[in-house]
Amino acid sequence: MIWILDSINELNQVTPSSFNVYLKGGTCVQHFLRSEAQRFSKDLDLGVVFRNEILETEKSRLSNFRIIEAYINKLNKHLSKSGYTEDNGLVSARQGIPESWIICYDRFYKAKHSVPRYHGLQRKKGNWVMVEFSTLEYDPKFASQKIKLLPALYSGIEIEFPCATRSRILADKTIAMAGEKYGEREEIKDVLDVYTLLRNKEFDNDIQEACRLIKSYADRKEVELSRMLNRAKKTVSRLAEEMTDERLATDVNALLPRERRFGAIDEWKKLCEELKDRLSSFPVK
Amino acid sequence: MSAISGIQGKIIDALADNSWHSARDVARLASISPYSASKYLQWFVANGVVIWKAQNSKWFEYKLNKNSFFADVKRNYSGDLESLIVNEIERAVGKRYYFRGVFAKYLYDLLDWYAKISLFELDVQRNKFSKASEELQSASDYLILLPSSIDWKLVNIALKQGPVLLLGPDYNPKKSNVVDRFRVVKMEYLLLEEYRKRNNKEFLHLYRNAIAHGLDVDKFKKLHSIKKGGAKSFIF
Repeated sequence: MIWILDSINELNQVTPSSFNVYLKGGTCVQHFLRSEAQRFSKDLDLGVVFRNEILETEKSRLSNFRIIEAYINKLNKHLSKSGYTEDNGLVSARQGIPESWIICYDRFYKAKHSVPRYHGLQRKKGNWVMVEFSTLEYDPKFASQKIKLLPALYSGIEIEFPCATRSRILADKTIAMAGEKYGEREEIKDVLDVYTLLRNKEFDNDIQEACRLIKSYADRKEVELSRMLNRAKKTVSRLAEEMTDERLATDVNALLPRERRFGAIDEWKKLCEELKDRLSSFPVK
Repeated sequence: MSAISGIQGKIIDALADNSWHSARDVARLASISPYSASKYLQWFVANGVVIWKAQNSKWFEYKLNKNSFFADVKRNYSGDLESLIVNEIERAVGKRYYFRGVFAKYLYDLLDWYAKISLFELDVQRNKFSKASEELQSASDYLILLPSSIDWKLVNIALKQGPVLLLGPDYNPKKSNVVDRFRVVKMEYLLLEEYRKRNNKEFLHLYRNAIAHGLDVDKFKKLHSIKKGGAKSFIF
């Protein structure tokens, strides 16, 4: 997570000229959680909001990528000046032209680079951060916030960065659970994230707005909101049904802090039922 | 005589002399069936009440861990637990071991998320399995050691008490690799295991991550086709 924070910090140093960028996705979810509930995320999902209107055409999609590429070049120049090298800390594009509206970059760090360069924090292992720019954002909602990811909290690092609002992040995660937009993924983490968000009472007042955002997305896709929510519930049901003792151990418990682990499949199923109930209570009108 | 009633009490009584006993021994001493003895002993092991050592890959012996019948909640180790495990295992078996499973995925940077890695799956050479099972007990203040043949239900129970180390006897030198000073099963074999366990959508996600981290795709496809009985086509 420290390298996620490092990447956010570096992005902060290089302001894009033709778009705004904001933090979304799993890392943003962690920012909203209490420290003991946070998990590590290697993805830095960034929403890109162009100052000019975007048309949903192939020409526009490719033009967006060129703008992002120009920004990455500028960012890499800055990173080089900070001492990063081609195989250590610079941002590199994935090969080929992206098929969707998301352009994906990698940032690899060598183990030996992990000297105490960043606020005295270090890891022994080399690391990798995936930086994804999502260039087609519907209803972007964000505000500049003090980042509350674990390493920032523990080390008193203060970074301000635009983050998706609570309603936006809840809507995005629910849309992801509905199997929309985000492609292949580990759905278990979505279920745990949405469940944890909804257990946070601060989110109670954001559900209405999240539903409006999900509906707006559904309207663009010509799908009913209720159908989207049903799909999300189906994902949860499927993960409850498909869960085996082995998967519970290796894909869930092995990755959670002790107090959040599940002693048996029934406990996982109970969480899934609770989540489905919460999703059922979302206002659809 | 144990204060605990029923079969559990009988088993505790059978182990009260604080020496090692096979499940068959325990069954005889407790006047219960070998099946029941084995089942309850594994449950005790998962809760850290009883420790085990292997005579060979299938024959285990058991004894009481401490003078407590309660589940043994592990205290946090102050350093890297994985380094402790490596020190202990190398003392027991040298370099003939590797990590696999979720910790191997962590070493290859294939995990999308985690808060804490608390399951370590380790294979050692078959003829060193017994020694490894004995030596690794010295880490039992911080983790629960289980044989990899144990029911996954019990692994989940153990994970509630603390980190778990699953020890197996299936080390194969041709599958061995070293990543960041850790001995780990080669990525292609790791992926093969994951392929068996996952649905297509999840596996494809992992597979793409693995390619970005240097998966030898041809080797993986070849291993996959051998495993599938010589099937020519590959689904991806």
